[in-house]
Amino acid sequence: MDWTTERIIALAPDAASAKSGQVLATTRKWLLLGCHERAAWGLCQGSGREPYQTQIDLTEPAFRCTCPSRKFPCKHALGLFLLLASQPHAFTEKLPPTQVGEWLESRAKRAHQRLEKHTRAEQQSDSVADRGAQAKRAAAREVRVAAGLQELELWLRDLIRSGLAAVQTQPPAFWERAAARLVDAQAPGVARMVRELSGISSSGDGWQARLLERMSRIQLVIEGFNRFGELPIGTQADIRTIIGWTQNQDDLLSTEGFRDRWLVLGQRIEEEDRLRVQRTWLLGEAANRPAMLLHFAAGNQPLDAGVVAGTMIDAELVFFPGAYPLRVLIKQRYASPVQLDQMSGYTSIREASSAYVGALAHNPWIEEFPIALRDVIPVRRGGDWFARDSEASLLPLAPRSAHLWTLLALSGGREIELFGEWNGQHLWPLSAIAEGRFVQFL
Amino acid sequence: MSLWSEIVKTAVIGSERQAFTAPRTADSLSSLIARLDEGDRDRSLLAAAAAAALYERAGRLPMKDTQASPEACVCDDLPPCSARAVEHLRLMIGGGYQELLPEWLTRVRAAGQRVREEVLPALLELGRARSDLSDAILPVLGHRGKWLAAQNSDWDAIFGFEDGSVWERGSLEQRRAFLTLLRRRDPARARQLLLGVWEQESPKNRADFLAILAHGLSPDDELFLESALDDKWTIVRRAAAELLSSLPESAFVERMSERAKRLISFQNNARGRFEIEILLPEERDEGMMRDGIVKVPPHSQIGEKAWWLQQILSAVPPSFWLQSAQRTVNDLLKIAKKSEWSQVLLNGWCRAAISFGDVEWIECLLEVSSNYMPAEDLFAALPPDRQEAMVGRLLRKDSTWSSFNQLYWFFKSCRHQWSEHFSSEVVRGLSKHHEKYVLKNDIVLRNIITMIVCHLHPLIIPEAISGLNKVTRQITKRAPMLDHFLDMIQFRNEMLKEIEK
Repeated sequence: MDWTTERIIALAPDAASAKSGQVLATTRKWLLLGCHERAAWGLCQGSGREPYQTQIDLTEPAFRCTCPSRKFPCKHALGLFLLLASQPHAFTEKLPPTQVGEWLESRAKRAHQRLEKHTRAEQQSDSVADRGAQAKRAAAREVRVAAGLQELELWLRDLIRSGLAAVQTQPPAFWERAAARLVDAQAPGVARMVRELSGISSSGDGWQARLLERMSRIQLVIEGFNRFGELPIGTQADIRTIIGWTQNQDDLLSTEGFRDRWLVLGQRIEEEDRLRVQRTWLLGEAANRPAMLLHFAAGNQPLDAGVVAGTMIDAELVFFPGAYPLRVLIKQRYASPVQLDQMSGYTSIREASSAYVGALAHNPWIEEFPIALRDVIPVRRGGDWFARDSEASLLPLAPRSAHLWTLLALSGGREIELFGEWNGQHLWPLSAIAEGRFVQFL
Repeated sequence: MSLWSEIVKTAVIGSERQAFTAPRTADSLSSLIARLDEGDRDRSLLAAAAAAALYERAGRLPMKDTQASPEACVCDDLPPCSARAVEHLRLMIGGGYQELLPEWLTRVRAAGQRVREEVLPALLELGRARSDLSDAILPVLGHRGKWLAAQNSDWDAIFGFEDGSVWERGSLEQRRAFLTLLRRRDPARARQLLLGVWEQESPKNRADFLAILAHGLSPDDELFLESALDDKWTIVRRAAAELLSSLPESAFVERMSERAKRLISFQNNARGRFEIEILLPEERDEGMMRDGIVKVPPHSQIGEKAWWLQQILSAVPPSFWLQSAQRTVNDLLKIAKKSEWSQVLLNGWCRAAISFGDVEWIECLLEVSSNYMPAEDLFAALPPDRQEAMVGRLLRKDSTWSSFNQLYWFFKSCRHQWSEHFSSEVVRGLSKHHEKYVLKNDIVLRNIITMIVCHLHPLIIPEAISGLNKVTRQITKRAPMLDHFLDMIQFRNEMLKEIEK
C-alpha cells in the first residue's frame, strides 16, 4: 500500500503530534534509518542521552518507540513514517537490528497464538466448576438489572404523568441520581441513555419532542427486557448489548467469521464519559455488508491505529450477534492493506433511506448508520447543507461538521462519492472521493 | 396534526391531566397503538410514543431540491501542488514556521500550481484574517478556489472581483480591502471606481480611500489628486498632498519648490563662509491651505511657522537643493546641522529623500542620523543592494554581532530575498559568532534567526545547513537557537524542493 503523507498525518493522535512529527521528518534528526518490505526502523536523537529506537511494522501498521511519550503513535514514529514516505532512499540500512527482528517475530507469534487459542477454545470448554461460578454471578446480575429497570419504569411513568413541562426546573442531579441507580443495577448502557436526557430540556425549540423521543427509546428497552423470552435471538442480543452486557471477545473470536475485502470508509472519534470512542466503518466489497470496529481509550491511552481509512483490508471479521449485526472484531488479516479507490455506495438517497429503514426495523436502537453515496453534490440551501443526488433528493448534512466547505471545495459543483454517519436527522461527513482521490475528514 | 405531535402534546401536559386516546383510523400505526391497554395511561402513552417516534424516523422521505443544480466550476485548472506541499501549508496555517507562508505562496504561484481543494477553506479563511497575504493567496486559489470564494460572502469580499458588488454594498472595511486589492491589480480601474463615488462619500472615507492610492502611484493619478486639493476638508487635502509630494513632475511639487526657493537661499558671507539663510513663511495663504499644509504642529517642540516650512521641504525633491546651492549633500548637511533650524531642515529633507527615493541623500542622512530622524524609514527606503552593502559593512565588525537589537533592526529592514553574496556573508558571520548563540534562548535572538532563515538565498541553503551542522558537532552544550535555525531552514529547504519538484 502506498503510504502518502496525508494518510500518515491522519494517524496522528492530535494536531500537536502531527506538527512535531513533521518537524522530525528530516534526515538530520536521525542517526540511522533502515527498512525492508515489512518494517522500517530508525534511531532518533531526542532530548535524552540515548537515542530512541523507533520502529514500524508496515503490514498494519503498528508502532514501537523507546521514548517515554504516552501518545500513540508518538512523534518519532510519525516522523519516521513521514520520512519513509518522502525520502525512501534515505533508508539505507537493509538488515534489521536485533530488537526490530525480535519485535516483528513476537508480533507474528502473538497473532498466531491468538488464532490457536481460539481454535483450542472451540474444542475444549471451560471447567465445570468455573462455569458454575460464572452462572451464579450472571444470575445475580439478571436480578439486579431487572430490579433496576423496574425502578426506571416507575420513574419514567412519574415523568410522563406529571407532564414534561415540569422537568425544565429539575437540577442536573435529578437525572444524575436516576443514572447512578442504573449503574448500581449493573445496567451502564441504560444509565448512559438516562444521562443523555439531562441536557435536552435546555436544548431550545422542540425539546419536548426530542425528550419524549429519547424517553420512548428507553421505554422500548424496558418493554423488550420484560418480554425477553418472546423476542428473536438477534433482538435479545441487541437488548443485552444496549443494557450493558459485554460479549466475551475470545468466545466471539472462536466462531467463524466473514472473509472479504473490506473497504475502510471512515473513522470517527468522540468523547464519551471521559472515554474516547473510535468507530471505524467498513464495507465488505463482495457481500456489500457494513461493519464497524469499536475502540475505546481512556485519558492519554492510544486508540487503535491498525485500520486506516482510505484503505482496503483482506480480513476475516466476526460480527457481534444482533438483529442487524454491525459491530465486528478482526479475527485475522491476510495481506497488507491496499489503497481504496471507490466506495460502492448507494446510487440514490432513496436507496440509502430504505436501507436505513430496513436496519431500524431490525434494531430500533441504532444510533449511527453508515451511508456511502455515489454521485452526490454538496449544496447549500439557505444556511443549511445537503447532499443532492441525481434525483434531486436532499440529504441534510450535520451543521456542526467542520468540513462542509471542504466538501464543497472537493466537489467544485460536481458529483462526488460521500461517506458518513446518519443519525436519522443528519449525515456526519467522514470521507469523500473526488476525482478519484480519497479524502478523510478528521 | 400528526399522531406524533398529538402524543407530544399530551406528554407535555401530563397523562395525569389528559388521557391519550389513539385515533380510530385504519392505518397500521394507529391500529398498533390501539392495541395498547388504555387503562394504564402512563405506559400506553410511553409505548405509543415509542411506536410513533420510530414511525416518524423511519418514514421520513427525503426532501426534493426545488432549485436548479448549482453551476459547476470549470474543469480546466492549474495543476495542484503535491500532497506534501499541502501538509507544509497546513502546518504553517496552524502556526508552525508561519513566517515562511508568503514564500510558499509566491513559489507555488511561480511554479504555476494551485493549492489542493481540501485546504481551500483554511486558506480562504487565512486570507480573510491576514489581508497582507490575500494578494499572494489569490493566484494559487485556481479556478476552484475562486469558485468556492464566490459562494461565501466573507471570502467573496476579499477574493471575488467579478461583479464589484462588495464595493457598492460592503462594509467600510470590506470596501477598503476591495479597493486595496484592486489598486494593486489594476491601478487605473481603482482610481476610476473611487472617482465614481467621490461626491457621495464622507470626508473621512475620502481621505481613507485616497491613502489607498499610494500603492502603484503614477503621474496618471495627478489630475485626480489635484482636483482633490479643492476639497473643503483638510484631511482630504492633506491625503492628496501626501501622495502628490511623491510625484516629482507634478505641478504640486513645482509649487512647493517655488515656495521653498523663496524661503531658503545659500550664499557666502563676508568672510567667505558658505551659509544658509532661512525665512519662515509669514502666513498660511490660500495656496498653501489648498496644498494641504496643516496649521497646527504635531508636537510642541516645533513652532507653527517652522512646521509649515518643514511641510514645504518634505515636498521638494532633495536634488533641487544641490542645484540651487551648487554643493554636495554632505556640505549641505554640515551647514544644516549648524543652523538654528537644523531640526526642521533635517526632518524635511529626510521625508523628501524617502518619498522621492533619493539614494544619495538617504545614505548621507543615515551617516549623520540622530535621534530625531527616522533612521528606520530612511533605511527601508534604500534599494536592496544598497541595504545589503550597508549592513554587510557592519556585519564585518565583530561588535555588531554582540548587539542583538541592532542586528534585529537590520534584518527586519532587509525584507527582500537576500542576494547570494550577502546571504553567504550572513551565514559565515553566524558560524563565526556561534558562541554567542549557544545556550541562549532569547526572543530577540529567535526572531533574528527566523528572519535569517526566511531571507537567505535558496542557493545558499545547503551551505548554511552544512556550515551550522559543523558547528553543532563542535559544541557539546545544547544550543536551542542553532537547533531552531537548522530545523527551520531544513523545513524551508524541503518546502521549496516540494514545490519545485
